Amino acid sequence: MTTTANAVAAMADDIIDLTPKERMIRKAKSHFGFKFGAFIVISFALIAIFAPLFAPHDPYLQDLAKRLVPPVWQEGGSWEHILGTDALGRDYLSRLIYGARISMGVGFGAATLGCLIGVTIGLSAGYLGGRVDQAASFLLTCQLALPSLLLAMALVFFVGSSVPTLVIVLGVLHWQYYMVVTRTLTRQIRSLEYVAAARSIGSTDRQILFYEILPNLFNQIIVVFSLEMAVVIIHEASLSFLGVGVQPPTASWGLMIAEGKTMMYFKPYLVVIPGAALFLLVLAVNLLGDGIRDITAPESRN
Amino acid sequence: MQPLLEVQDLSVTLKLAEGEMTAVRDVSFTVNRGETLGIVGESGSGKSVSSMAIMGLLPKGTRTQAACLRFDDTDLLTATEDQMSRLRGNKIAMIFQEPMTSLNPVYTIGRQMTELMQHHKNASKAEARARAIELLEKVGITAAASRLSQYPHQLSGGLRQRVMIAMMLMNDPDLIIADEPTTALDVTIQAQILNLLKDLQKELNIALIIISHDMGVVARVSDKIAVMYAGQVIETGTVANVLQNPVHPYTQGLLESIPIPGQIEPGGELGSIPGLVPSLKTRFKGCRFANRCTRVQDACIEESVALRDALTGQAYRCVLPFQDLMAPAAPEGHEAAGSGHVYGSRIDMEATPLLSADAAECVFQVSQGMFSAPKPLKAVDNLSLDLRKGEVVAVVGESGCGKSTLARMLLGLQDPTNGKVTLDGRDISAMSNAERSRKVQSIFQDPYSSLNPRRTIGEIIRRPMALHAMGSASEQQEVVEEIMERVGLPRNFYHNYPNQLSGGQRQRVAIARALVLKPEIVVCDEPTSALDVSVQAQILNLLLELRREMRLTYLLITHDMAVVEHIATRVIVMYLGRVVEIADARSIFKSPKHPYTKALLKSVLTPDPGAGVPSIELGSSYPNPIDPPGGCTFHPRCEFAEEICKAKAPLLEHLTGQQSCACHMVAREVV
Repeated sequence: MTTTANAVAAMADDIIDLTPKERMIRKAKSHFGFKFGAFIVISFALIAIFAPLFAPHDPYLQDLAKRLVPPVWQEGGSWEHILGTDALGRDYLSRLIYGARISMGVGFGAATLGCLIGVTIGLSAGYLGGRVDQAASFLLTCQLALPSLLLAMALVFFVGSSVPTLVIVLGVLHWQYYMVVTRTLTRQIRSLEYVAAARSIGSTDRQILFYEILPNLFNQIIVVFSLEMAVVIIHEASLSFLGVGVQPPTASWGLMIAEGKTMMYFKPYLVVIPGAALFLLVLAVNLLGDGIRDITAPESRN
Repeated sequence: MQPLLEVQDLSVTLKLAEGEMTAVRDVSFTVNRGETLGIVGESGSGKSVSSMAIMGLLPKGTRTQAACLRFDDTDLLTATEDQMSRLRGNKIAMIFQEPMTSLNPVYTIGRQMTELMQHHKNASKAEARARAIELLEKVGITAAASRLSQYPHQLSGGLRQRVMIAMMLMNDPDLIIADEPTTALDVTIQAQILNLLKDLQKELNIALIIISHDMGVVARVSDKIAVMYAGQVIETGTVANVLQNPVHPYTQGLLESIPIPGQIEPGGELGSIPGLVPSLKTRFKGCRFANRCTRVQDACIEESVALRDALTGQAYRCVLPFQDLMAPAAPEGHEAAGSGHVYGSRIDMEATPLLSADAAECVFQVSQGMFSAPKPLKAVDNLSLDLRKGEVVAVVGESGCGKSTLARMLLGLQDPTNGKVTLDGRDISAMSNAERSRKVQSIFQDPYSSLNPRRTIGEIIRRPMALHAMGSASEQQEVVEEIMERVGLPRNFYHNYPNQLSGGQRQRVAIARALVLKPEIVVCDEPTSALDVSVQAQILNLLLELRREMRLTYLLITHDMAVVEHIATRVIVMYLGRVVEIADARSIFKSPKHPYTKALLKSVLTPDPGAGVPSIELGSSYPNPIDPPGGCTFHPRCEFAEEICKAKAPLLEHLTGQQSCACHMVAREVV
């Protein structure tokens, strides 16, 4: 009894003595969602970056003699094309690997851009209030009233389709949630006493925003980021599916689903494989986001 | 006759995410009809959980055990949910702390009052309405019939609490449980509500349980008292017995830590209990108070103690015989440390003031709706004030009197609309942040919101130095560690986050942060109002010590006159943005002049058993600052008011020494 009590006490002291960084590492090591999410996201990122090393074939090479070869686990499949080939005889695994570049690039890029825009607007609206807040809220209402996918289609159509265009268009259209969340939280935090305390020790507005307020928004921003990234990847897929996103023969997961849809009933693997990859990435990003939130939050002690 | 409510060996175990927590253990008490039981304890002592157990309001998954838990003829332990809901609001009524949140804002008070009676008693609408009007009149609400159609937000806090009480009386309850009924109210309203409860209880012969952290409240209204600590009753008996001859070291310490006007040598230290209330998650072995007790013995740590009788009539929970406990403890050496110099002796009143406000005014434009033009709200009205080196100036007033706005102006966080604030002879709004913050610092009211939850204690205390680039990183860390030791924070807190600290420890962090730049003036905005009584005494003592050591000047903002007498040298009483009286502390307490000052002084409830609650004759409630009464703003509540008070605002007139007062009646020597 006494020994267990002592052990518990010793453990508590131990935790108190750790620096914040050590405590974070300890928490990260025991967080399953974080480890799983990080593993998937990092491996996908590595595969995308070093696509030529991983891809067994040229993703653009057509071989009509070998069109619609099923994946290896189905009847008629071969180890040469593990995930089979598409309607033009291109290796499906290679296309999936190259497609990861587009999907992840667009996903991270657009979600980051949206984050920058949304957090900036939200912070200024919440902190400054008054006219700035009214203007920001008006902007938000306008944005929410627009059908964003239609707008994205129109914009991409006019500007011309390319990956940077996609990132910018999708980024500019996905800042609302960041803005709403940061604005509300900033308004709450602004009236807390630690902001007044920061001012009385001589902090400027900028120092208050970046040192006192922003770190406290981190949890919520991370969660929104993981959600928005998933949404953006799916939007990119929708745009590609509708033909205004990535142009063939470039591979993207969305485009692969779009190309496979005509044969979905006969060759379901054409849709299921890129769909599964997309699902896994989105799941991993969400788990990673939740994990980062749990680890960095000082409020949770375990 | 068997008591109305009998609680014997009640234990409550709550289920938490991290495991189980026994919030209440072996608590016993009884209440008779017409009797008042006071339950007093600090936060986390389990006093509210006990009352929730009686009401059957604990969350699901809670284990309630007791040898007996009986109300009238009902066994509350085995009662079905149906039986319980017939008791609640009918036979047992509960009054909560926060009247705004316990009344539903979307229904009129009439509907809320009549609904209960229609539901429980099958009364007709007309009957219920008649009863509601009768009760509203009984609790002292004028124009009762018209109030029924009002919504809670249209009533002031004091009125809301009266409505709440009237509502609880609708079904003739036999027992009323009042959980901190006056904590959210202003001090002048508190006395009125307590008197009301007491009168009603006598008249209707009901049993009353008052739960409070405030010894004064409990002492004044209760017949019996139970002192709770860490989930146990550690001393219980009649109020006179327990408060006049406390047996348990905790009760003794608690009573010593309450500042009582006129009893403590000014500037002397308050008695305080070292350490903290233990977390209820701890696995207790032995006496729960052992780690803070000055008379701790080996036996205390080994075995737990049962409640036992002292011959003086109360029961207590301690291994030592009561005769030993009641003998005065060995001198602790903390008295006389103050050598009583807080009063003006060393302060040079002729010196140029460090900080002064000259006819400062602060007006906010408040818009009351989308289409109405914004109305001006004068938070601070034509206020002049000088703060000289070494002074402790207290600004006293109720909520809404503008004291916090005044503090913000003096800190340079709010520019005055008119007039100016000067620091060391220079206009404060013209000073840079850096320059100003080295001279004036502040300590805020709520230690839970004044520390950034994302920064470690070390980072928080070091931040002011980092901002002003004072010294290298290692030098800064040295200073931080030095000051942490000075304010009594263990060194290993450096890397902790604020949420791992208790309220008192957080307030020490806030003090350390304010002092790290070595300012001359510290503005303390209600520095102890969010803290428990025993911790309040620790913090006040610390502030006094630091003042002596670092030659600090304090501006103390508070509503608590008892705290003021303990540490202030000069007192400013504010009412609706104006100064009504200003004087040195001695004169304020010996010969207060303004009727409002007198009322405030009367509102201090010392733990004086049987003294009753003083009646404060302040007619209506605190006016809305946006629509202040004309003439003397205090006239609607003043018993001496005459025609001139309604017509003309009085000016602050010098009386004697340092005392000035703004009152027509004082000037004419009527009062």
